[in-house]
Amino acid sequence: MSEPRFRDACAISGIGWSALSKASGRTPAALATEAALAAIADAGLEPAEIDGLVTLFWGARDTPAPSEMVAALGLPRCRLSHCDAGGGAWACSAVMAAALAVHAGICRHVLVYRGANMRSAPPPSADPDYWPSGQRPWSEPFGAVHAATLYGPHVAAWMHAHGLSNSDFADLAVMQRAHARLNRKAMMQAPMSVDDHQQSPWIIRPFRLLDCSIFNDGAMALVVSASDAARGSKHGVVTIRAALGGSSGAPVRAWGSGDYWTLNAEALSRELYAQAGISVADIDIAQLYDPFTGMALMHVEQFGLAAAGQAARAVAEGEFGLDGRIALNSSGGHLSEGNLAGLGHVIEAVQQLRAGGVRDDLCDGEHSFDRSCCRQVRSPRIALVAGECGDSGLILAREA
Amino acid sequence: MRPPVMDADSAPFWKGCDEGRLMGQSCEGCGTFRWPPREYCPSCHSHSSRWSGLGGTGQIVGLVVVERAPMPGFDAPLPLPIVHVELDGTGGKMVLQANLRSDGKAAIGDRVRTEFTDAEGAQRLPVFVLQKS
Repeated sequence: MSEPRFRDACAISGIGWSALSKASGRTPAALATEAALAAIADAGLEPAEIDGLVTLFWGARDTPAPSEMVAALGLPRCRLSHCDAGGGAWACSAVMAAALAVHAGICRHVLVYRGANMRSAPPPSADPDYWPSGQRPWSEPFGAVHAATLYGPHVAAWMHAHGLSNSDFADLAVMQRAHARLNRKAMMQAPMSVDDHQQSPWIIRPFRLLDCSIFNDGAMALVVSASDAARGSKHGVVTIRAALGGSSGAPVRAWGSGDYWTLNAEALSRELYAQAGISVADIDIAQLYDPFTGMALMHVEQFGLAAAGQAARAVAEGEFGLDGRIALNSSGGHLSEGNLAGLGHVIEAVQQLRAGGVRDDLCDGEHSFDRSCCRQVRSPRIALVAGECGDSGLILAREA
Repeated sequence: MRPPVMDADSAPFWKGCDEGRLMGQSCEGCGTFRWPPREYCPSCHSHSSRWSGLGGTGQIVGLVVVERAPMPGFDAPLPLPIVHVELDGTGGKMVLQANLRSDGKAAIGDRVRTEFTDAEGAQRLPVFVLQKS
């Protein structure tokens, strides 16, 4: 566990994004540069003040290399080039890597970015860039080449244990779509009903089409700075109260022992809350990785936001709406906003926590909290953000 | 679908499949089954291990059914059930992922036994079959 002196020492000082689309018609470098320049300007910095770069991808290197971004942004120096190959599982550890470099005094302002044409130009699936050993040689010969086939068996085991069926996933998909409809950058703007969810075709049982993350082109970026350096910003200061990465062994602790659906989330959440000095009751908003509805619901339970087997019921009863007990995936998440391997979850948490709040909902001027146009949560102070399986997590806080 | 990658750790397993035998690796130090196979025991870190034939029966602990090709170039016949099976006699440590020959009515908790595919010239793969209750 990190030293308490890490607590609140670093801040997310700027956020930016490009349009999310099915076919950008632009290069990943152009998309990432747009998002980076937006994030740097948002932080009140000049590009030349960025002196560290972190990017993330899963499998294939579909995001611009740090060296390419040094050139694109015209950086006079770069003191950290870190490529995180854990994809969405490590979205929060990409932010943590940036914060550690700032906290160590090696860098002053680190840009975390991802830009990719995941939808229009996906990496060739015939040549997956997998680890030299491990899980994939044991899954690919049987057709388990997709995240739904890798995680689906564990979701099915959890459903079986708690007597859940696919219809229990509908309310989460519907809620996240409603959130996306209050988010101008969200890909999916069409209204969705429980019926729409239940009528959508099976893709990989237990998941229907509307249970699955969308794939898109686009870029997102954020800047990590020392909290001292961020003070005085018009946005206020959103600090990194706690950060944790790691894994319990791919992809589920229970792979071959004990129950069969315990993610790293259960162990990580306990340590993350202790590191932050908080309990679940202190969490106002949660942005949890949602490759599939069922996985997101497992995260809800294993991060302690609902009792085991109760997440779907709690969603149905409105506990996780914008005015609920904890606002969950308020941007629409991967299911309805778009997929930049978890960076969108971090950015949404920052937007909700900062002074002035979200800037891309449908409010004209001040936030009205009218849910026909406003997605700003009322005065959130503490956000939980989680990467896939809880292999990384952040607690972000609005500085008093 | 791609053929399995045979390496120094996994070769005894795949050679066993070619001979129609399901092989498991256990630790000579502490007896724990190692899955996936590896040189060093994650429990006691012993380097010694032994391979032995397994009965091939077990219980489904996880399953998905691929109904639609998840990506271009996915060439398996659909629908394709993929199951995770906890193999008997391995102390719950060996959970093998493979396809299920079934009409799609399988469920978690169902008992299965192992057979092997038999395509000429191709690496033989384990495949699970539901046991009659």
